[in-house]
Amino acid sequence: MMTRTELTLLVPEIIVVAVAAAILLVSVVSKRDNRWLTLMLGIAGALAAGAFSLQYLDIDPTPIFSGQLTIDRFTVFLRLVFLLVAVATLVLTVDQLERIPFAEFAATVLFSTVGMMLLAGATDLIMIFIAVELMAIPVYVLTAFTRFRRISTEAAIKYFTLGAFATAVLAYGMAWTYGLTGQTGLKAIAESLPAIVDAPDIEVLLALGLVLVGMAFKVAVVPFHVWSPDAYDGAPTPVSAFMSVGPKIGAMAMLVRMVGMAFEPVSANIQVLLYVLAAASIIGGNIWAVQQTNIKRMLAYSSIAHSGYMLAGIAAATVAGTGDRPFYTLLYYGVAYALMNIGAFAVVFVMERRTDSVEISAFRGLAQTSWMPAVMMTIFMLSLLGMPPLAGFFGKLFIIQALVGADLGWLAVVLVVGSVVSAYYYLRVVVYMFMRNPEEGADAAPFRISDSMASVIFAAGIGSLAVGIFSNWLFEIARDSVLLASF
Amino acid sequence: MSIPLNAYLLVGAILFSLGTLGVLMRRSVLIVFISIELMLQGVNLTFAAYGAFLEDMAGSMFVVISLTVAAAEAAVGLAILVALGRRVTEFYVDRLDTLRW
Amino acid sequence: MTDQIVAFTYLSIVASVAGLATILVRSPVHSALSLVVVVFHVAGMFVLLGNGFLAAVQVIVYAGAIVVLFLFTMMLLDLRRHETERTVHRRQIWLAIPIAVLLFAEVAWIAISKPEISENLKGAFPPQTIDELGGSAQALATVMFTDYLLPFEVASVLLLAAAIGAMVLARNPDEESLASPPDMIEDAAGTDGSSDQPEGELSETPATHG
Repeated sequence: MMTRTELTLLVPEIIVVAVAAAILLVSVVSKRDNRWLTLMLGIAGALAAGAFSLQYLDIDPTPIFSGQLTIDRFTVFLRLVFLLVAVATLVLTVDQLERIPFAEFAATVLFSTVGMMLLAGATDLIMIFIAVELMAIPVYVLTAFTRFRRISTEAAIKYFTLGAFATAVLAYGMAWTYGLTGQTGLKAIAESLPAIVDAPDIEVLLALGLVLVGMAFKVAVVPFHVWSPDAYDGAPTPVSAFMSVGPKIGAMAMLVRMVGMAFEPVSANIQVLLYVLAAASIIGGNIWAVQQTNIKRMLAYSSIAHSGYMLAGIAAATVAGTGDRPFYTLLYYGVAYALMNIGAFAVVFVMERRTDSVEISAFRGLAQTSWMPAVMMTIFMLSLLGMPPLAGFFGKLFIIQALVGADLGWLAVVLVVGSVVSAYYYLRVVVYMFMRNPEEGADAAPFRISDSMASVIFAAGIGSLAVGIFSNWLFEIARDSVLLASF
Repeated sequence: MSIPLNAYLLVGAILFSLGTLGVLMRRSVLIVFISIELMLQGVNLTFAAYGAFLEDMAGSMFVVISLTVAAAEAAVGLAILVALGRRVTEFYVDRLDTLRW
Repeated sequence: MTDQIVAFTYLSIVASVAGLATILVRSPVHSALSLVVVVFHVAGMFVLLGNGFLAAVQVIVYAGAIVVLFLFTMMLLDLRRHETERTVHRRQIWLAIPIAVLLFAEVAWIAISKPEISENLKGAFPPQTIDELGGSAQALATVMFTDYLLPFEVASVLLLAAAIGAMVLARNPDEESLASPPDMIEDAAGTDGSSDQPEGELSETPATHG
């Protein structure tokens, strides 16, 4: 039964839904697309939702709505990350992409954000299923939002087809999990699994395998990644930034809940699967990224490699006796990855607006014409590569520490080798910007970047630096989030 | 209930596998979408059967949610197809080749 | 007892054959109609399971809404001109069949060897309780509006999001509410598509605004 406390804990999600609805209503009433008003509403909603979430940073894990959601610090932490991602996407788009209806765009972004926020706290199979869909379906729409471009709708079709296929596989895995345990709550599943785990072992594997395959599609790990380069390439660039971060971290959070809560008693059965997926993504993502000439596709493959790094952190946590279960590497990495990836896509968006090209060669001599985006892009590339003292370095460091602590030295070696390979394609962008001359006939005059784009790029750049420099502080928060969480 | 659970699960498996085959095999985007619906039919049957034999209502609840999701997916997927339809009249998976797979 | 077995045998055979037809027929229209047959027979199995409410919802939502949506889209898109073409991926089929067969073999084997559900896993809704409550609809309502209230509410947000998305994407571009200059990033690929753009046949879509 619903109580007042339960509703209070759900206020952030309610605010975001209400703001999305308000944005739609305002655009209908005012009969025109007032972009700045929409943006202000969106930011105000996100701030309010964030402030409400922060109030409960030190909450004890509280199951609400009969265990559908669990509000703990893990949930609160991720809610803030998702709100940040949503705001960055809206600010990046507000004075660009003139032909799309911005009110609907903002509402769709916010609906997807609500899905992610619910997913971060979902601790019941039914809740997880509906939250995953609320996260994913608006992103299919966002991919097709610039529907006057053929590649946009085509990318959306590919993304939709494989996403819906993954949903069906995930649902089938959930059906078998339910049949195995008779429960839908993750805690209850974990309690009833040990009683049956010995007898029909293959049944456990089937249920788990289907769930894992479904989620592997959603987070885009090799070999379930085929949709992601096309989807990132075809989507409008702010949407690429959004979907490379939000749904990915959301699906990872779901994986943590599933592996850490529901399947904890049988996590030994899936370790090997997780290792293989992680290693394959690191190797495949990096090798394919080297071959790309289109920077959006390069970032897509790079984000597949980063999925592999995050998955390696989760794999380390499934090993018995890893102490406080190093899921916290994922939280820290998630923040770092969100900042640097959004920043990188924002600079790509600037270049796309200016040169009408998303080829890496468009970055030739950027430092000569305008130094600001060049310097910022360098920060993002070095952070993605993992250079100290930037955010990406500490993210990888913490994962490697967790891997070594879990006796998974070989996976740590794969991670390091993958990062070395990635130096080639990240540094190539930097070399193009600083050591090459602009292409013949290119517009050499410095260009003005709109204030909103610049603010996203600066915020992401400063964030990447700060999260690196104050890594211990954030790391403590992330660690406490996991220690205070309910798994 | 004289029919054993296994029989329902088997029919569910048949529908799900046929749907999977359709998704992987057919060229027409529309038939791929329909095949995904067929997979969901298998899922629904499995959930409903388990729910009945477990004497629990969560199975039915999942079927209701799954129907909602299927409806939402169909609406969005077909809308994307209509948006594409304004540009091209070809609806084969391997003809969507502006982007490399 | 035997009438149940007869009914189940009929339902399962027709559902499987119709499922096969769904993925094998040439035309999407026939495929969608085969799906309707599957939907009706799966609904019949829901009735055999004692869940009449789900059977009704299944028929209303799938046959009444989803398949109609499919057929409507097919009419909008006029697919007849491609009916003579190849229907399957030549290369992919050699991957697709083994995957599907392996998946089916594994799941079928587990399904057949699945032992009876043990008593201690069973929940709070045995058939007599459902009868006391007045039927499957009442039994479902007791969990839908208590334990599963939140997913039920979130489902409404999902439907709203999907409705908005579908409206934005399927709106007629000529009647766009915003008359702005062409976007800078309109790509070159757009031009190759516009040459074979269907003329006029889509222009009757009402331009609804969210």
